[in-house]
Amino acid sequence: MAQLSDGQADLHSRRRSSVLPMDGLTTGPMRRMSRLDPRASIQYGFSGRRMSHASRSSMSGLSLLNNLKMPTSYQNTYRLEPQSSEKFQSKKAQEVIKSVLESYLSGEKYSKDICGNLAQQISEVIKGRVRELGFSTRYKLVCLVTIGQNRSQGVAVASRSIWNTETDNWASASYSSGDLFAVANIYATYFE
Amino acid sequence: MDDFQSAEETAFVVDEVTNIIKEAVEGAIGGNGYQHNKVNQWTSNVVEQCLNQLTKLGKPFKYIVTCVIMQKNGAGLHTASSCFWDNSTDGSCTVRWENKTMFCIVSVFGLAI
Repeated sequence: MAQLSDGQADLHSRRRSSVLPMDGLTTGPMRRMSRLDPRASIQYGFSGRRMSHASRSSMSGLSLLNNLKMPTSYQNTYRLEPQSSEKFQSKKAQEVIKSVLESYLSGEKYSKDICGNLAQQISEVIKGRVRELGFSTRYKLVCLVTIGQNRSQGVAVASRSIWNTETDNWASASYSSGDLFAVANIYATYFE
Repeated sequence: MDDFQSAEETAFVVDEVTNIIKEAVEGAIGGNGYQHNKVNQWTSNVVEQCLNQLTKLGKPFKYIVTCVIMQKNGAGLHTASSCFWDNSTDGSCTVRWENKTMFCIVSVFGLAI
């Protein structure tokens, strides 16, 4: 690894110091400098400027081309539950909800015309952002957003579910400022 | 063939669920006026009652039930939901109920197993 990073530094300094106008020419000597397999390095030009992972990236580039030509058929996984790394984590989801609520609602005042749309938008955004967190794609998501006017009236939001507590989970966050309050909940249930 | 359930028996039927919700709300709140110290009790009763009846349907669903109760004093309230699921099997149902002193909004989401 040390060797490799040395080589990298070498490459970079070379590249910066080079004054040759043509890129193709400069990569020539650099390739020879590199300690990686020369045949793999031929595919550099192909896979772009990512010199550091030369051989590996060019390999993946190749397999990607193959994938384009032939549809891959997958075998059964026989998996009934998400891998532990792909499980829904309420804490992460809660952070997302909180940040979305804050970014959309800070400085906002209650208005009956805006808030309906706003609630819809926020729930879409939260759902999208939570999907980007990289939990298993077999999770079905339900995102519920409630926005209301604060006139010091009483409000209670409650929910309960029937599901598999091993895999399924939920997250919730609320926001309130001035005359506006909002509660957002997201529920994730694993589809076996 | 007796073992197979028909599509009707395994689907999320909104009308059926609407009735369940309405009965649950009537049963839990009925003619009561808004009482701050009772609200938590009411919300959990409504949700619990809905789930009880939903499980009795014996359908292959996971259910999520939410209930919002808000005192009436002219304040506005909006709810919205978005879902990532299988449109052909899963469904949702929302009921708005009110009396003189409060609003009650109940949503049920059914996600096929």
